[in-house]
Amino acid sequence: MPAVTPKKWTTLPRVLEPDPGTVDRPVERVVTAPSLLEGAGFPVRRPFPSRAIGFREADPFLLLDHLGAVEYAPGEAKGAPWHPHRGFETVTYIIDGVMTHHDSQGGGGVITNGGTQWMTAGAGILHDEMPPEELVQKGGLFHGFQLWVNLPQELKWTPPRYQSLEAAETTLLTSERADVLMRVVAGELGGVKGPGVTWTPVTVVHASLEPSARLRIPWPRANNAIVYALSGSGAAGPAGVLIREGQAALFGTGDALTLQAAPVPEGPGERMEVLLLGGVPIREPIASYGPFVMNTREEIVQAFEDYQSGKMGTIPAREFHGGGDA
Amino acid sequence: MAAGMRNPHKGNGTSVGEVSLVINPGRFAMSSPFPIGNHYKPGPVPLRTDPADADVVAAPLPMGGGMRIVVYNRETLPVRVWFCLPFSDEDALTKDGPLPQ
Repeated sequence: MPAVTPKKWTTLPRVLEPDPGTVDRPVERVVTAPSLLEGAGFPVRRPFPSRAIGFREADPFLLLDHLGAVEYAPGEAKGAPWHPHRGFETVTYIIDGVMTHHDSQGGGGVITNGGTQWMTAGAGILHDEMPPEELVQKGGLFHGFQLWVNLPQELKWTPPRYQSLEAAETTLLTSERADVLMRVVAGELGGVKGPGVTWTPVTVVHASLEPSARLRIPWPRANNAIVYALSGSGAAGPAGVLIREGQAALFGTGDALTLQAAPVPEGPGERMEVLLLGGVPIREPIASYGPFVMNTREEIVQAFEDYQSGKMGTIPAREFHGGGDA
Repeated sequence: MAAGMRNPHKGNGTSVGEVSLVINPGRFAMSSPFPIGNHYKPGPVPLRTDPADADVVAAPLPMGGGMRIVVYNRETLPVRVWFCLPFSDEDALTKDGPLPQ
């Protein structure tokens, strides 16, 4: 677990539990993420969009891919070669391992061990997300997630931009009893903000719960709430609904989010690892086709034509090794 | 290939490894997924059409299940297209693919 994890949590700022009279959000649905292969063949689990958590329930989020965890043998590591996006943002958070990226504007970088890349695709960009050559050659552990965040209509044509959030920039908080570590990537928790700059109110938190730890935190009523178990198991909501690795819980309305780790969390780690997601729904029509998410079908057709004609950008010459594959 | 570029290939039949799709007017259609490697670069999709001068747009795109060749028909009549999948002789779906709502 290299994602930024201090040894001592008691010195971190604490998020106090809401008053006992605060309404805890009930769990409305639990979905087990189906497994599939993405890009050049790397394994992901995708809890949404799904039948149980569709665009309406996930709004303002569009998609969540749990990447791995996978222990690659030498020569096995796979990535997502060049592809376009338009109309939303991709948030890539790496817990273990390394991912490199390049884009059609000449940008690029490395995401590693607790780091986040927050890419606003906006009007359109081409990029790739690849394992570094060393990981391909030697193999190794890879674990993370990619989240798609929708943009409202007036921002879908905003110029593309990146936020490279290093692990050390992540805001660290703990629970009232200091038995839960919360890494705030973006949004606000207990009055403290994470480093990510968002276009609409969005909260993204990676939390680690010690065995039997109880998390009860304020969660703005205007936000939706989804908890995804990256590893381990625990009980979600006031009724204690069991969620395990690879499952997402969709919460109903209320003012507090509750979760308790199992005394012996199932899975490879000592702790329960979860992703806490919340945001104010955008409530606009969604037209989605592969890597394009717009408001109308006509905009999807335009996105496809713009991509095909190179208006979204082209692969930089230095990246192109010739012999087009398609 | 520029948008609407005509296919240079000749012939009417479907050869081995070739994909055939029938696309309704103003609709998308897509091939079955094809495997790609880390060094894959999307590029032009040479294709032929019936009618021969049909205005269609084709490009590889990551879709559900993997990378696919997606074709959009700008015509007001159905168009049949033929093209080859990269790295694969796999036959493709012939299903017209309307946009999911």
